[in-house]
Formats: sequence, structure tokens, C-alpha cells
Amino acid sequence: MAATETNLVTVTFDGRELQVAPGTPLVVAAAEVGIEIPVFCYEPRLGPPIGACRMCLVEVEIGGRAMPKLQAACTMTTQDGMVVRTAATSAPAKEGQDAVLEFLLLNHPLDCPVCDKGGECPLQDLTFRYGPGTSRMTIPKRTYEKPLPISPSVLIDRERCILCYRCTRFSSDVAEDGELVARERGARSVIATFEERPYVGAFSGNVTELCPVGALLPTPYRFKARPWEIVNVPTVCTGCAVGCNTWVTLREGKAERVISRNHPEVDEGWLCDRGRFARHEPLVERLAEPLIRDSSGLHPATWEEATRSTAQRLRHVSALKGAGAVAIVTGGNLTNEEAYGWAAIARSVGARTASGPVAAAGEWERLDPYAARIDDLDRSDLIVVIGDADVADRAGVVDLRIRKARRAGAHLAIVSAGGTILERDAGSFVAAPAGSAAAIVAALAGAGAAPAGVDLADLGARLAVASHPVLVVTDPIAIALIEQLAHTLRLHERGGVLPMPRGANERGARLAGLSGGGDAVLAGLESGEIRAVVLVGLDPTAEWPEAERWHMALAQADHVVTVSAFVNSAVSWSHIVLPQTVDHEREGTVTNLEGRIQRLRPVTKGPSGRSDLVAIAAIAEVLGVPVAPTPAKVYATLAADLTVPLSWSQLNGRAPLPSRGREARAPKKVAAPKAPPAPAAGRFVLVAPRPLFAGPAVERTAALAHQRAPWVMLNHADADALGVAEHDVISVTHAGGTHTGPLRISRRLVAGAVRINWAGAPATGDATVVRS
Amino acid sequence: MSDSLHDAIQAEIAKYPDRRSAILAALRLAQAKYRWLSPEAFEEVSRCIDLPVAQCVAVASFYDMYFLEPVGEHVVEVCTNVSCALVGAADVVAAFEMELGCSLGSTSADGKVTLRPVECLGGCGWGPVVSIDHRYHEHFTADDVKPVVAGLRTSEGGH
Ligand code: SF4
Ligand code: SF4
Ligand code: FES
Ligand code: FES
Repeated sequence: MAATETNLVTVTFDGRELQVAPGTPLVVAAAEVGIEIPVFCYEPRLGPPIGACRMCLVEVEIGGRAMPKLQAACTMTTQDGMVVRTAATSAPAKEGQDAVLEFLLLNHPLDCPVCDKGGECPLQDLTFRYGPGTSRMTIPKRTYEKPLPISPSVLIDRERCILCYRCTRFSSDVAEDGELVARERGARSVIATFEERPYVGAFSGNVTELCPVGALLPTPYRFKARPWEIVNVPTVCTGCAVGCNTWVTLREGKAERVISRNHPEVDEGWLCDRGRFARHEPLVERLAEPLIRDSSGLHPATWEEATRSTAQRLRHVSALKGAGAVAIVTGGNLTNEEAYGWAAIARSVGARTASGPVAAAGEWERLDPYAARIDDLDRSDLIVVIGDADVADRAGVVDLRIRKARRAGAHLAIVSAGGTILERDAGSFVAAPAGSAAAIVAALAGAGAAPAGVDLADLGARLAVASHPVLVVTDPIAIALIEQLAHTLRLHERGGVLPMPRGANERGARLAGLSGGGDAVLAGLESGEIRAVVLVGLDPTAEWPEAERWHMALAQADHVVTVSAFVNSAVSWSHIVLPQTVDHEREGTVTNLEGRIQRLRPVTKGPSGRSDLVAIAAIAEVLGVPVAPTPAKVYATLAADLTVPLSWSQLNGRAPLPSRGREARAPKKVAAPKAPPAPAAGRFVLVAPRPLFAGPAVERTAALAHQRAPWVMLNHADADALGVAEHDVISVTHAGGTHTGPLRISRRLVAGAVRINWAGAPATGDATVVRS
Repeated sequence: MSDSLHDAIQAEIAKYPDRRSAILAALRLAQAKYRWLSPEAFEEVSRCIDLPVAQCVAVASFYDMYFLEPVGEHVVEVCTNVSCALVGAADVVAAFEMELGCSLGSTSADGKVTLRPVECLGGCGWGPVVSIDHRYHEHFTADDVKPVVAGLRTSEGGH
């Protein structure tokens, strides 16, 4: 708050005087003197207050004159000399509050004993604390069919709804998907979607936490637990590189629910549906014990056998074939401590490493002098998003933060092939050929020409004058190019670049010593130079480009060790398989896209009962390199190398992000990228960035099936030319396979492109499009 | 996609700083074209104005003047709000129901006339007020019903 001592005003709440900035909502000011004014609809994260529920009624006197009616303390703000009396000291306020509660409960079923919200329900709590003890309601209450699915992951009980509009405000004003609305009017109002179709927004689950009653509840948690038999464990989501802070609800040894643990600098209390609902279940599909291959196939082995054999093979290969004959590859699905352990192993056997598919697209540290924090978006006046992938697909809730900044006045400029969810309300949208992100970045940096027909003059002019521009490149292009642009724009002095790594802990893995790219490893495998490879939490044949080549290359390797939670296709090429733990089972730290180190806490035990770090330490021990089997110890070693060493205990609660040096060095010169080839006649350019809802956990989660439902998007002119209409079922055949789904028509997707939410191995190139 | 509707909606959008403000007009244009707002009509409006389809429905279902169900050739709307109710709107409704053979909120069997209740039409001093194909009739009584219905049954659709 910018208020200085001099422009504070004096307000009295129930006789307690307070100096406060003018214009503060009364509910907030009252809290400062320890007075609770009960609220249902007030939620500053949803935008300006709307005064819908009237729970916060108070008596107000200004300049000695009483306002004629009770006032809503959420919409009314502080003025000098205001005297506020809450229900605690004012009979009219008390009467008003009682009446409001009675009114809110008029049609409420009061079925708390069978309601999942019971025990953690604001309506229940506030009724108990403030409400009249009895009801005068004798006539039958309005009833609805219940519960109804709002989507496969959210249920609605309309009888319980108090029409506070938190959920619809989230949908229209935060996620801006506008899918959840209040239909009808007055007493007939119901919260609904269009034609009862599922609410498919990537952030829909947040409404279950916003709803102050048991009207919107998460389907997977239905009848799973009561609040007095659960423990909420603080940890961090590793669904993507944002690292949203979460509580995982533990009941009788099972992780039953994920809810937000608001870190204002990271997630502001939002989660995406992937982080909230994706589960590594059923446990029966998990790899529970190590496997070793003999001539007849893979067979269970003890941990001792499997780790020893892994170590011996790596040592053997490196002794026989020399340095560089072993590779350790991850996609970022591991902790910093695990990465440190693997890196120590890699050093001892002279292994090559990789933390992402393409070396040039993973050099995140190049951006360090220009790196923006997530909350830099709040301060930005210009946000530039370049790339065909949606921000939500790369970095979940950062999408919400960009929207918030745009609503607060930042200019949002998007350069993309179009058809993303972020572009609809953008301040400016520049349509660019699919796959041209690298060329655009180079052109803006003055290191190449813009693709034909793309006018970047307006964007260039905005970038030149913005005081706090934030640059986001969603497509995996060479980091050196982004560095060049950041340097040209002097983003170490104003604003910055927000890195968009693909793997949740790709940055951490690099810092801990697993740098490098999968492209070099693939080439090494193909040439026969690399004879042994360890795949840590990664199936390159499903998650990385060049899936076919990876298949062939892995089949040729002498030793493939897979560390995985599930059976995947890489397992079929593996000689040794080590079960991996997943998010809720891990202890350690992860580094998010900003470089913020956050702590993961184990909520449950994996089916193998062994921590990954213990297994890594066992391998390292055979190789004669010391790796402590405890995360805290490994972290201490790691932290010693940080510019600002944070201790293990400093990572408790909400992890800070110390500011870093911003000395820019001269960027590496890179050749201007080639433009992607135009497709052959009658074919379309494929736009298929990996969706947020992809990967083994998402695939196994029934509550997310609707989010993965395939769709196909075409430009309206192309659709007309093909004679196809919205919802027609369309098949798109490309090098990686065939994708079939209902058509979405876009006016912004560039002509000649087809966008699909393909969750298989990343596909590029061209495609044929037919009605099926 | 019917481009005349698209163009007409664009012309409305051009009148406002924010396309959201054109939603009422866009819905009115779609209703004028299709006579009622079907799910398909909502989807078309949503595409033309580039707003989520659910928000189009939310707005349309708030106001009485949008038809969310098919209507007959003519639409008779009886104000049943307080002022009109006090001076006999219920009798007018009963007379219409009798004459049309359908209940309030439905359409006569021959598909000619839809009878709907509406909220205050702003003619409270001259109640009961009945709107027939969007033309207001004041001091309407049960006795007026018979000739009006006879006229509607024989004339072409007019709203
Ligand atoms: S469903 Fe919940 S959040 Fe939505 S309006 Fe009803 S009570 Fe409020
Ligand atoms: S945005 Fe990323 S970190 Fe946050 S909940 Fe979603 S997947 Fe998890
Ligand atoms: S909290 Fe003030 S009206 Fe709802
Ligand atoms: S109450 Fe009928 S016109 Fe106002």
C-alpha cells in the first residue's frame, strides 16, 4: 500500500480506533484491529467486490451522521472519521446479519452430516458462530436433482448453492473461460454450463476451493474423508515447472486430494486441473519392484541386485569403451538431490547427460541475467508471448497471472499461429506462420528477417518504450536466440524473460549437473558411441521428438536402465528397471521455472517402499562416489554452490526467491533460423504443442478424461473450403499417427494450419485433414 | 455460418468500446432471424461476438424478451407483475388459456400463438398490460381476449 503516515484516515470499529489507508475495504480494515466481519462472496483474488451475499452488513456513521441503512463492509471502503459497528456491538447490524443468514439458508438443505464440505465449510462455520440457532422455515424447500456433474471432476449440488457468484466470477474474471455462469434470474438462478456440457477449462477445479458451501465439490474426493480424520501435508506440485504450492490431503495412508497452499509469488492460490486431479493411480499399474532382464525376459530382482548390476554395467561400459560411452538422461522428472546423485554417478563413469530433448533449447542459465520472476508479470506494462504453444500448456497457472496483468492494464501482445486460449482478449495479436517462433525472436533481435507477411513494427515499437516488459517464449527454440533478444532489449535493466522449461525440474537437473540435450545422446546411440543409457523418469519414445529414432536407438544399446514409476514402452528395451517414486512420495527440492527452490515432502510411500535417493546412493557407493541417502544432506552440498545459499529450513513454508546478479554478458552469436518448409499442396502445417493434459498420470486419471478429449482446429476459411462445420469429426494424419476429434473453428488460427491437442510423442511437419 | 448475421453483429460491436456491450443487440438480431434462440443460434452468436457461449445464455436467460424455446407465429405476453396482478392480470391469463387451449408458457396446438408471462412492461399505470407481437395493449381485460385471439389465428406471423 502506497499510503504514507500523512494520508492515513482514522476509522473506529466497535470502539477500536485504527489508522488506515483511505479506500480500504471495511472487512480488511476491521481485520487489522482483530475484528472479524463474516463474508461469503468477498474474495479479492476474484477482482473488485460485488456485494452479492450481504453477510458482511455493518452499521456505519460518517462525520457523526448514521448512514440510513446497513452497509456491506466488503464494498464500503474506509473514509476519515468513519465509525463502524459490527453485529458484535450493533443491534441493527446483528438483526441484519441474522436475517441474511436466515435468507441464505432459506433453501439450503442443511445436510451437513452427508456433505463433504462439512467441517471445513464457511457456511457451516459462520452459521454456527453468527447465526440464529433455529430456523423459522416451515414450508418445503426448493429441491433440485443432485449432485449433477459440472464436469467429470466437479459436481454441483444446486440446493446447497447460496448464489455468491464466486465460481462464476472465477470463470469469467480470472480464468476468463466464461463457461460457468448463472442461468435464469432471482430465485430460479442456477449455476450451470452451456447445455449442461462439461466445464473443460484448464483451471476449473479452483471453483471447488472458492465455493464457500458444499455446492461445488471435487468428484474424486466425494465421500472420501471427513476433516477430522485427515492430515494436510504441505508440498509442491511437480506437474509443470511452475511449482504451485499445495497441501496433499492424507487419509489412512492414501493421498486423497490436492488443494492450494497459496504462495502469492508463485501461484496466488490457484492450481490447474492437472496439478489438482492427476493421480499416479491405480497403484496396481505402478512398478513395485526392480526388474532385471535375462535371456527369457524381465524378472523381479532385489534392490541390492538391481543397483549393483546397474553400477557394474555402467562401470564396465565406461572402462571398456571410454568416456562418453554412457549417458544419463532425464526430462526433469526428479528432485535436485536425485539429479545431484545421478550427476555424481555420471562424473564417475564419464557419462554424457541430458535434461531435455534439445541441447540448444535447454540452456536456461543463459537467461539468468534477464530472468523474470512470475510476479514480475504483476508489475509489467507489456507482456509479449511468442510461440504456437499456449502458456497454460507450458506453465499452467502463469496463464492466469498474465490475464490478471492484462486486466490491470498491461498490454498483452501475442505472436503465434493462433488458436491459443490466451489470445482472445490480447491487446494485439500478430498471426505468424506455424513454427516460426525462432524466426520471430531473431527478427525482433535484429538478427534476421521476419517471416513473410508478419509485421512486427508495432510490437518492436512497444518493446522499445515499455518500462517493464516481460517476454515469454512458449516454443522450444534455441535459448541463445532468446538471450540475444533479451540483450538487445536490455531486459537485464527492465522487465525480463520468463523461462518456459518443459520438464518440471529441468532447470534443477541442469544446475545439479545433468545438463546437455537428448539430441546429442540420440546421435551417440545411433553411431554406437554410447553403449549404455539410463533413462530417469522419462520415456523419450513417448515424450520427446524423434520418437521413432529413439525406439531404434534404444533397441541397439547394450544396456538400457529405466527408472520409472509405470511400465512404459522404454521398459521393453530395458535391461534393468528401477521403480521410481512420484510427486507425493518424494522428499527433496525442485527448482521452478524462475529458479525458485521449493521443498517436496513425502505424503505416502511408493509401492516399492524405497526412496529414489537411497537407490541412487547405493549405485554411487558401488562406484565409489559418496552420495548421502538423505535429501537434507545432499541439499546442503548443493546449496553451498548457490549464489544465495538457502538453508533446508528456509525452504519451509513459502520458499523465497533471492534476487540474483543481473550482469549481462555478450550473447553467443547464433545463425538466423531457417523458416519451416511450406506444406505440399493439399496438406496442412501441423501445430501440435504438447498439451498440459498429457503424460502417464493424466492418462490414468478418469477425472481428467474430458480434458484430454481430442479435438481438431482449423481456420474458418479452410473449414469452408473443406466443407466441414464446427463439431464435425475430423481426422488428421501426420508422421506420428492419426488424431481424430470434433472440429473447432478459429478465425485466428492461420490459414493452412491444423492445430490438434495431440498428447503422443511430439509431432511436427505436415498433415492431411479429412472428415471421418 | 450465415454471414449476414455475422456482419450485422459486427456492426453492433462497432458501436461500443467493448464487444461485450453488444451482447443484447447480438441476441436480438439472432432471435429476429431464427424466431427463438436455439442452442445452435447461441453458438452462432458466440462465434460472431467472440464471447463464451455460456455467457450468451446467461444474459439471454436473465431477460424476458429472449425466447429460449420455440414460439408460435404470434407471441402474446401478459404482464403478471404486481401492479397488473392487482387489477386482474390473472383473469386475462385465464381467458387466454381458455381461448387458446394452452397453458401459460406454452403454444397453442395449431402452432399459431405462444402465451407467456412477462415481468413489468413499464405500463403499470395502465394495467393489465399485454404485449402482442411486441405491441403493447393497455387496460386489457378478459373480454378483449376472444376477438384478439380470433384475429391472431387468421393472420400471418407478425413478431
Ligand atoms: S456454487 Fe458455490 S461458489 Fe458458486 S454461486 Fe453457489 S455457493 Fe457460490
Ligand atoms: S500449474 Fe503446474 S505446478 Fe501448478 S498445479 Fe498446474 S501442473 Fe502443478
Ligand atoms: S461479503 Fe460483503 S456482500 Fe458478500
Ligand atoms: S406491473 Fe405490469 S406493466 Fe408494470
